[in-house]
Amino acid sequence: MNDCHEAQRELRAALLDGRQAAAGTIGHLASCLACQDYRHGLDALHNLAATEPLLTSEVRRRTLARITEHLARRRGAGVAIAVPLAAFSVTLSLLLPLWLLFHTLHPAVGSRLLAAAGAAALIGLAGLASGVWWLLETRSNEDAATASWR
Amino acid sequence: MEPGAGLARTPNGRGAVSDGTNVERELIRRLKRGDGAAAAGLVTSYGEALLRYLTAIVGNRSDAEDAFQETWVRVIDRIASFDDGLPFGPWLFRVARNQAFDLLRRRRLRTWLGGSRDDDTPGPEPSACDRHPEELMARQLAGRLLQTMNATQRELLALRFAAGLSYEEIAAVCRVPIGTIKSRLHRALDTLATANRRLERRTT
Repeated sequence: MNDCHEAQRELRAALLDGRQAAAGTIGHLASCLACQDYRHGLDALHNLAATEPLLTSEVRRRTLARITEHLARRRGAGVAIAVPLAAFSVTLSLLLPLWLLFHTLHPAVGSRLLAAAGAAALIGLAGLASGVWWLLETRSNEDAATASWR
Repeated sequence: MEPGAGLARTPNGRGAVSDGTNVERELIRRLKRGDGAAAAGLVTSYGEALLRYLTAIVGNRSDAEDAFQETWVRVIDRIASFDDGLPFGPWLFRVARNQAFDLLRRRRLRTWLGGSRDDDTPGPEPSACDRHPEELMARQLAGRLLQTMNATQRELLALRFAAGLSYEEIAAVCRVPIGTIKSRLHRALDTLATANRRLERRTT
């Protein structure tokens, strides 16, 4: 009984490791019907790894078509969200400072037209100043980077 | 059959390139940017092993192919959260595992609600490729035996023998220590051998 227990354990281990069972176990199998029966019971597993491929060209083609369709739908959904969001952000980032400046300048200058022009001019100047600052900053970074190569 | 090969080897045409090669990392990076062609590369690498695993779990080829497609859709949805430093294979099989178990849950629910009892379907269905009736019958027997086992045992045998994953990869998929995986596999094999003998005695 103990031999059978050991033999069956070895049969399982050999199957799991993809190797031949030990010689002692093979010897035991020759004279033990129960263990022969047990080994036969394990044979069903060989059929799980049948030689014929399951991923046929048709399955592959259908899967890739599904992937492409899903990616396209995701892109469509991304654009549908991103465009209005970007438009809203740009509008807000331009209109909010304009509105604030207009309401700050209007009591001081007394004319709606002058306040609006002043607010627009200030925003334009601020934009120009940031552009110039960004250019200078980029240039100084590039100089620092190229200096480190020497 | 040579289990324990992992996905890097291709016993019987299963598995292919994997285990975090540079090519695979590049494919994952491209997929993160939404490049569908990169998905094709990954399907080529992992498709066969993944489909064998799913077929063994869900028990028929048609459902397995559905789960296979849904797995890749889910991979695309979640690839942004995948950590490039980790191996892709176990992560992919975890996604597939969730799909397979979702499908089994839905099937049980349908059966409970009085729908078709397709969970009784024994083993993989024949396809145009099943040219050898003996092979088909043998595979159906294997599928029928797997369906008599509990979900954990069935999954472990599918990961090891149908997908050809190594112990380490199975441990990563199931999030269980390797020692536990080995002992559970031994128990599953014991159950399978007993079930097979019982089935054969009943049919003879």
